[in-house]
Amino acid sequence: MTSNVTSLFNQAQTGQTSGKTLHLTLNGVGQDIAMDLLEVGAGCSDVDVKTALARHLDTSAETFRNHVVERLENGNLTVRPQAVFG
Amino acid sequence: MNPLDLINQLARQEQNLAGSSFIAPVVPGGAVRLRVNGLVYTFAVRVRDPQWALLRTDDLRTARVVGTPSKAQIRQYAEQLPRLRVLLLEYWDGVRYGLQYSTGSKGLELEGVVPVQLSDNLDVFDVANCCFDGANVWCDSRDDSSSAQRGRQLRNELANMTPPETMRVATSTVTDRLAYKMLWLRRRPLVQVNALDTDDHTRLGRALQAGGASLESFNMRGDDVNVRFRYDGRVHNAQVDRRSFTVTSAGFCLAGGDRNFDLTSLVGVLRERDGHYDD
Repeated sequence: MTSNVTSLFNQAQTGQTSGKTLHLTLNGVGQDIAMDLLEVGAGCSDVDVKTALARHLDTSAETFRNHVVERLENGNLTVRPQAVFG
Repeated sequence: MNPLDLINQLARQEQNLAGSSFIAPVVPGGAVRLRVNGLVYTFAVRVRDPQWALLRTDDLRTARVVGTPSKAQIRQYAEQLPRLRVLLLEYWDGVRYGLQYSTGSKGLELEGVVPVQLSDNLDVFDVANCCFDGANVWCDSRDDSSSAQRGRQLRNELANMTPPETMRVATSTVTDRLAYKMLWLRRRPLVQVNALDTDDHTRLGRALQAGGASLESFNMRGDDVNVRFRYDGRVHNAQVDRRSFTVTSAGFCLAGGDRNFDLTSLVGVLRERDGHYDD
């Protein structure tokens, strides 16, 4: 897992965090990631969000090819697999 | 000086240089620069690991490692350069970073995080004695004047994920606390929202709230939980695994893909379904 060390330094120094969270669901398991660490916001494109996630988790962006990005009213993001309705 | 004498002098200098020994820090893929009477020579050095090395020149282009310098020799080398103390952090993309701990005797001040070379044998929160050659910060030893107990306590607090606001290490400095906060922030995303140290009601409530829904009620069914929740004014029932909140039964047909989702993401799926089928 990598995080931008300068970004962490700035956050730790200023004490400012947006408090926004990205909820990722991968293989049925959820985890929350502070959006500050990903350096993404609700205004970022889906590609930007998936690229940041892949970088953060040391994985390929291909991992999230079939995932959708949802933007919640509170500014948080959810990244989950596409649903197939029966 | 006669130009011919100068050329002869340079030729003699270069002749003497071949086969001479010197000390330098080296890294794989790096080169070593040696200044002799104002002239700078660059030598390629092949090493597997970063290290302080005793080197011998093969010719005017290459040098090789012929030994390991003593601590005293390393200190003698390092003391020729501006000194600084660095509080060691962790590795990012294979590079160790640190924060300057206090101004060295020659007043060198580096801002923010700095890459630190040759500190692999030291721990996080150790203070390293370093020298700066204008491009790189090289660690030459551990600073034993800083309390080893302080570093151990900080590492313990971090292992327990004690929040920075409540972290109490009596002898910690401002730089220690800044470093601690950085590393705590780095670990924070690894903390699951569904951490099992809280009660089921709180965990379910948090998971649903993260998806924009609210908990109405729940009851246990073995390893599963039946959850009744409200989203967008609607009420829905689903069944999830009690520990991971992985969906075991979505309460509507997901073509057998129920377990691809957890409780939080199920709320978004419901909204998508409603958008598809309600109009």
